[in-house]
Amino acid sequence: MTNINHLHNIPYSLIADQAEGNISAEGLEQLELWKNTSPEHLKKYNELLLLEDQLRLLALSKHIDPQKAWENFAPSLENTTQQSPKSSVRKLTTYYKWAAAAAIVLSILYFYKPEFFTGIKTIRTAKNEYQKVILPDGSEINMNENTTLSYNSWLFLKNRKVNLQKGEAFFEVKHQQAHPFLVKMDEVNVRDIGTSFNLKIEQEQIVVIVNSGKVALEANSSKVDSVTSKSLLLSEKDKGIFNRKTKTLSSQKNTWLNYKSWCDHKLQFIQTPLEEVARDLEDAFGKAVILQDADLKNRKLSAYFDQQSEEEIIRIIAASLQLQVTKKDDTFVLYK
Amino acid sequence: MTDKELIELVRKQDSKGFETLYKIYYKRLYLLAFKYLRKEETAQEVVNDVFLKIWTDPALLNQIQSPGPYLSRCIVNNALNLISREKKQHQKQEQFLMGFQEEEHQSDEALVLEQQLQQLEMALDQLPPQCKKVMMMSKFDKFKQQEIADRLNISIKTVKNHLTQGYEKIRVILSKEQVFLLFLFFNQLFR
Repeated sequence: MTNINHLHNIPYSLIADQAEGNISAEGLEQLELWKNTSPEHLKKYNELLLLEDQLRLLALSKHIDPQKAWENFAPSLENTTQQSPKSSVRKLTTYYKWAAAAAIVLSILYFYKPEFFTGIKTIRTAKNEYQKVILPDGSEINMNENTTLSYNSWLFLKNRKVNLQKGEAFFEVKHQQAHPFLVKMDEVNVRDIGTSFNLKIEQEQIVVIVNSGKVALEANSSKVDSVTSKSLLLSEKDKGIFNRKTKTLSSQKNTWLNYKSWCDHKLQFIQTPLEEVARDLEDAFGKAVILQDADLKNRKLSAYFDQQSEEEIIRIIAASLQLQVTKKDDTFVLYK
Repeated sequence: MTDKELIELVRKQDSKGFETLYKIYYKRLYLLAFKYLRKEETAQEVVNDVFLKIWTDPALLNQIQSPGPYLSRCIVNNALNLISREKKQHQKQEQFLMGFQEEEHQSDEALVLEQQLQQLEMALDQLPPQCKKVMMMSKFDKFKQQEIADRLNISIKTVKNHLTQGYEKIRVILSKEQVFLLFLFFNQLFR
């Protein structure tokens, strides 16, 4: 082999044959002989083996495709570990849980507290329930039993408007020149010019009794078109009536002294027939007062009661008129 | 993106970051694994196993500043473990396989291998055209010497001469390269 003696004595050709796996027995014997003749040869041989190996790795590296490897690898991430997809799924489900919780809270809020969304506050009183409402502007409303009203708490200071759906209420309005106070009902509005008044929606009529100041009672033209007179200006002690059947407005002097006793518990009687007294007591306290004897109806009573209980009042009346009184359930019976 | 940022992303289980890490390091880690294992399939398995463990347990990266040395060490450890397991020698502990204390100067075996292969490729490029062609056909395309002779229409003796010449030149180029690299290395050290 001439190659052995040339090129620094390195048998490249034999090494190439060996790398190819194509070395002859004779060649292998020569190669072994050369390797063993000196440590320097062995070192060179090892260097070349390394070079051969690196050439193979270099050849291999030409076929490595990280993109393809990733595409093969990525699915196994999801299948075996499930760490990342799971955690993202978990994130998603917790997100949905929160969203669902929020939706439930919002719908409950919407159901029980619609003002949370609209600012509209609705206040209802049940039977035998009385409530005092202080509006954002400081005006006060005393609500009688079975009464419903609403107002927009967000806009109230700019637009003082109260809707009275049903029942009876006594309004004490703080006067504001720039912002008139309006009570809207289905068919009429009461526009206040700084006053206090009682408003009652009855089956057949809507009654406004002005305690102080002035109010305007207006037919709601969108609801009522057959009204002859569109509005009435009412002063102190005036009583305005909207007849719901004839759709007419009328006014008269209020002679009923105890129209607001239901909220202030003040009762005044000046030569009042006992029949009316009984009606006023019932109106003020919600408990019936029965006159057992027919001739009691026209007995006259003059008295003034302030903040007294119904029972006290009845006993005082009975004593002053020399009558007997019994209490049956929630009803008082007056008799001779 | 720096290595540190990349590690941070992977630690936060960012799948895009993980994919980037995988694609950047796959090639050299695969070559390193192959260098030990000599089987393409097993090499790929080892690489994927290492990435899988990192993905499922991001805490492994807590002390790691640079992914290269860590990944190399993981590959080598796993490859050695595989070899020893094949030899039915279970001396190595699982914990050791992924456990790794990063020291100040870490050698990155996969990086070293990659650089060596780059130098080798540069050396191949410096060969005379016909010599390079024979070398490439022999080493890359795995043609036998007789096949090369037939395809290039040259004698087998000429093929042998080209191979001999190729080995010799590469050896010389690489040794010069190593001196140059050594020079660069010292240059860095004493700057």
